Amino acid sequence: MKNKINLKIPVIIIAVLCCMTAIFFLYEKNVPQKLPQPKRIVQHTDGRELSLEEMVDNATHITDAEYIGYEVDEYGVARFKFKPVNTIMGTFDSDIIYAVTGEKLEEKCTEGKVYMIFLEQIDSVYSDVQQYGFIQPQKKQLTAEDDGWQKQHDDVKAILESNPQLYQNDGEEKTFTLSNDMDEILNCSAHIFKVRVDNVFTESTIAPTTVYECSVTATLKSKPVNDNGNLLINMFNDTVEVGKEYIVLLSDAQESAPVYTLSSRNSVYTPEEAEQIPQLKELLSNAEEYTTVPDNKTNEEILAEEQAYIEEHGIE
Amino acid sequence: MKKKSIVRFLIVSIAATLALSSTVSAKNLSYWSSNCYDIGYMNKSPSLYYKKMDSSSSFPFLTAIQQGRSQWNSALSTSISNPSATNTSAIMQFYGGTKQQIKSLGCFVYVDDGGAGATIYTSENESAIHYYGNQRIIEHKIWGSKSAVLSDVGLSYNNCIKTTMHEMGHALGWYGHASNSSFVMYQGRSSVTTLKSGEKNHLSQIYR
Repeated sequence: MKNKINLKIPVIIIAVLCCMTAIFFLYEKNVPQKLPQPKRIVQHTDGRELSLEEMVDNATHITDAEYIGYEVDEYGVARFKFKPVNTIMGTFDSDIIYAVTGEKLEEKCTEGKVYMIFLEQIDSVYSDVQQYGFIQPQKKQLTAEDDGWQKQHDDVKAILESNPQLYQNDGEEKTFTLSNDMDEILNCSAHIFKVRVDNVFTESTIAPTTVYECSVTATLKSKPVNDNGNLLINMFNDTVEVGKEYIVLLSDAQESAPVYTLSSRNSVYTPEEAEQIPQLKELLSNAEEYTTVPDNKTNEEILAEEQAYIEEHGIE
Repeated sequence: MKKKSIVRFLIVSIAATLALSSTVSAKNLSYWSSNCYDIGYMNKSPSLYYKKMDSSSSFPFLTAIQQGRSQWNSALSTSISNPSATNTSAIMQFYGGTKQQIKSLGCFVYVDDGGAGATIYTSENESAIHYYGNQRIIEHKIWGSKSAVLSDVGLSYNNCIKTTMHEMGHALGWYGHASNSSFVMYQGRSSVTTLKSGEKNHLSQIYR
């Protein structure tokens, strides 16, 4: 009798534990409670294959380089490391090149092998590291053992020689400065506005930045390139508050509806801070008031515009 | 004798519990159309935010979003919300603009001159393992995505519809690309604007 009681209790306990384990197991597998950030950013890119001429046109740098592996930054972006061994176009300031792409390049490249790679220099005031965009990662990457290796070199050489002036530059001139000197920053600032931060437009998950919707309330240097004064400005996280006004120093924006970028890492000031900086104080004293016109089209209005265009021009 | 049968009962129940817990979450998949062995899913009523940054009427971005939404909702029995231009916390976010505009957002890893669209998962995690035959498939729960469609890369009307639907497929969990060029999920410029059964089945088996 005693034995029976002693056995029943552990059996029940074990059975309950089994059930709890199973429930926990299923719950954990299927209903994660946290919202984790990815360990490695996955980016799917859709697009067409570029011809060799287009790849050369897109590139600021072309080189034979040894693939030496990759590292993942704090935001989950993989940076693929290459060591240039024979530079064909452009010049590198460093022995190691950091190339970025959303594709899993490590599945196409083998450490220690030399590849002919086409890169576009990425200049950004928001990045600490000089990075290069990897052109056409979806293609097979050629090594010296591949049949097309020499032909591709000959073809690239012929393209470069066909228009030497076009390919002589080392990329576009930077539109920002890494200097903290106000005169230098002012020199790099094509636009200086007093803006009110209206809303968050989008937060980046791959960089410490947020794009804000802003309204221009005064112009200190030049006018907004779009007529209505509604600006999108990319700023470092936690440097502004929605609803408040700031003096912003911006790089040249040439398109009709651009996302403005900062002209330096110190290009956002409260009006009080700006008053303490002699150059900005002088600009503020000559600032012109500006009235932003709200631009809030409804979905129906946008769809009607698109449909009208299709009706008028047809579809291909 | 009784002790022995209790021990047997315990062993069988533990084994059954473990077997059940792994088989209930692991599925044997019937379809596979991707070049990558990952697949994802969002909740069945994802909210959708969009911004048409290039406001040109020749860029049919909202038309394309509505077409993509309609076809994917029908394929997956989902209820992707009406696109909102104000819900910045939506789980699915779409941006349409010039290459320069999209680049300046700082939300996407590099896209070269051949690029027409891109999708990035802003938050996701591995949620289960499935099998397609003997092939191990990793399932991901997607908590947030951002997609871009470029307006100034020479896309025709149908190219734009295809690219937007393609990015929406990625956002919903279509990892990798289809090798069949008649699929919307094929990587490359095309004028296919109707989802085929192969690509619908590929993703809908996870949404069931």
